[in-house]
Amino acid sequence: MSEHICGIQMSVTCADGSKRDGVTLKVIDDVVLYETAEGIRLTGNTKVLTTEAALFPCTLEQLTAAILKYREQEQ
Amino acid sequence: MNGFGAAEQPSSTPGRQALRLDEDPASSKAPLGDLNKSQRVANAGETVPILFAKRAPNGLGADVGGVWMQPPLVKTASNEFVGSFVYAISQGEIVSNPVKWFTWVGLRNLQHIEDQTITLTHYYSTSATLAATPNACPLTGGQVFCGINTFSYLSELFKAEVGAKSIQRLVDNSQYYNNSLLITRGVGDTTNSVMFVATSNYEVYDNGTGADLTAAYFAAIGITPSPTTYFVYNAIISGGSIIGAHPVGYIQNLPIYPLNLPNFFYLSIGATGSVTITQEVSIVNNQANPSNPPSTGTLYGMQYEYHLSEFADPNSPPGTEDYTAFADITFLQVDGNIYDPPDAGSYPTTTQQLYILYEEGVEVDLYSGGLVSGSYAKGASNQFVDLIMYMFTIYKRIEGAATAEIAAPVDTTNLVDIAAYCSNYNLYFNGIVPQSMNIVEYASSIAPYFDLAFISNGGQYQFANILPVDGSNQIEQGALTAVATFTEDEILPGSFNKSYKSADDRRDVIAVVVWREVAPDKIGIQRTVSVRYTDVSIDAPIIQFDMSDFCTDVGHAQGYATAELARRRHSTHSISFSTPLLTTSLKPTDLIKVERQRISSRGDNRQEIEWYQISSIKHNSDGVSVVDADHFPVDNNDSSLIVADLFNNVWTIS
Repeated sequence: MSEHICGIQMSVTCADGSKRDGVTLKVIDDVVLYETAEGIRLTGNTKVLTTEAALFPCTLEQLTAAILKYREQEQ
Repeated sequence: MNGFGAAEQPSSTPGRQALRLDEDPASSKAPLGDLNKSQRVANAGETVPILFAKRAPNGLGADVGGVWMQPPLVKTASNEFVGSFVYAISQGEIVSNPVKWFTWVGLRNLQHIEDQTITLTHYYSTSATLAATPNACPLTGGQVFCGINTFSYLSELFKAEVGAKSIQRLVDNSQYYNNSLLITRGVGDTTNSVMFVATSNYEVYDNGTGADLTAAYFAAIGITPSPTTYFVYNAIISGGSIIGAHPVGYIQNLPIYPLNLPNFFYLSIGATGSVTITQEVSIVNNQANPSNPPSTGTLYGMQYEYHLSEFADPNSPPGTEDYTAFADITFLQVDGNIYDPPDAGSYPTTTQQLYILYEEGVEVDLYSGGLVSGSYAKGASNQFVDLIMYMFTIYKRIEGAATAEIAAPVDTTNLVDIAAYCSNYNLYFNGIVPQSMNIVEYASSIAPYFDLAFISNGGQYQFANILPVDGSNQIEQGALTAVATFTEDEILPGSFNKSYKSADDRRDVIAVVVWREVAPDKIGIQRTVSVRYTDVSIDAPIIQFDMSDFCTDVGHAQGYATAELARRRHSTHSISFSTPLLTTSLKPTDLIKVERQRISSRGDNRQEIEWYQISSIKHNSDGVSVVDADHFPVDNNDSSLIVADLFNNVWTIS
């Protein structure tokens, strides 16, 4: 299993309008997920729409690819 | 020109740009005076030279020859931040293997450069191989690929200094499979050092239109750029926090392959093709994890390595690819860090000019050795005759022993003797044929420097000695034998013409010859040797001969100078006469005697006998042969005066 972290300490707005802090953006075996500090995956009604604050420790290409992949998954 | 006005500048000749580039001294394949210069990159359409050489004993106890070359760079690549550099060396297959301690980059010898992992490899594929498999790239090392759109390169260092800016002009990712690696640059311990770029300091521009795509970029990925949302470089993450940083030399995004699929993201946000990304460092933090002590070293910054390819796997190009342009060329690949020495904290992506000594050049049919069991041996050579035959071979006019002697463009029957003569007097060709040449013009122009003439005789070209030789291919110092004697009876009345050489052509001069020094322990550059008759003043006019394209032995250069000066001193005139059709095998370079009656009004008629060397014979349709010949004086014993001076101590050399 490979795990790559592309975003940490993220403040995001979800599809249901809720705002979450302390979110992590991960790529695990080609699957992209946003995960809260409590380990809750943000998907479906809580899928992430925008990011207001974050640290992005991966390369720009990786970050872009991860976000686009996530959106593809959530369609 | 009008009246006394100056001449106007002539118009340029169209369609000569590639030729002009070939002729540009800056395109020289041989080292010039300035060795500490940037690597020259080959121009498209540039002629691949022929490197013809063989280092060998000169009969005086010293090895001479080989070639120092400054090859142009044709391709570069970077794999895990190790550079690969490909240089075009020569048409044909080079016999020598590249040697590290014979190779320099600028003024640094590769044997003693900081990167001790450097390797040098030759790559070569025959025309037959590539004809059978056109997509079989000869560069088989896996670092550099033949496809012009398959490449990798380094970005400039993105410095870890607040306010430092990075400008990356990306290649259009919609056209290429791609990947980008990122390396940590610095010194000492950097395991708690990170750099932050605020998203508000990040901009995207379309290269085609210059349009600012920053807002579209962030909108597309759902990020609101702000001074508190950061891209973080060099961080190690765990549990949602930065727990440390990468050490110097750590590479992110490995492995390189498989490459990522082409993507259309930038096109989707309004780019017309490739984009430029600018970013500026906001924060450098040497204690990213406050639980750990600060880094004791210095993070210099981050550097990207980009890989792009038209194909998913560059090692397996599709069958439609055609690399036949790489056929029958020897390429040198250098793998390792030969980049310019870093100024503190910078990582240059350029190199100094490469110089390399080849002791043995291209493999050729050794006509100089004659047929052995019905075929010619193959190997490197320093014999001028082998070079010319090689030129005819690659021009498809001859194919070794498979071409019958009678069908060969050059008479092959005397090549062994000619080569033996050259060996006897250390007249070797060690050089680079840098440009597209007319073979016959080239052979005719260079042959005199080897005491040879390249003549047309009986429907074939032929090498012939200029100086008389004996049966052992030594210069004949004794009495000469004329091939033919012409008397008044053979010379058609009124056809004899004698022209004395101009005083300017006969005045005493100093001959300066440019040659090329080749020693394994230093990069060979041009040298000169000055030769004069001892009785000639040191301030006499100078004439210069350039033998630097092929002469690596000062003795060869001196020998040519003495022969030239002796000819100027002793050969006073030339003659021309007509004679009934010559049916003999008389040919240019043959020595003849001309016996004529000098008629005097005083009645003291005298017989005049002079020796000449035939320079040309024309057979006219009216049954007359016209002979042109140069004066070739002899003494009372019929020994050549020119030859005598070559072996007498009448020279001052400096």
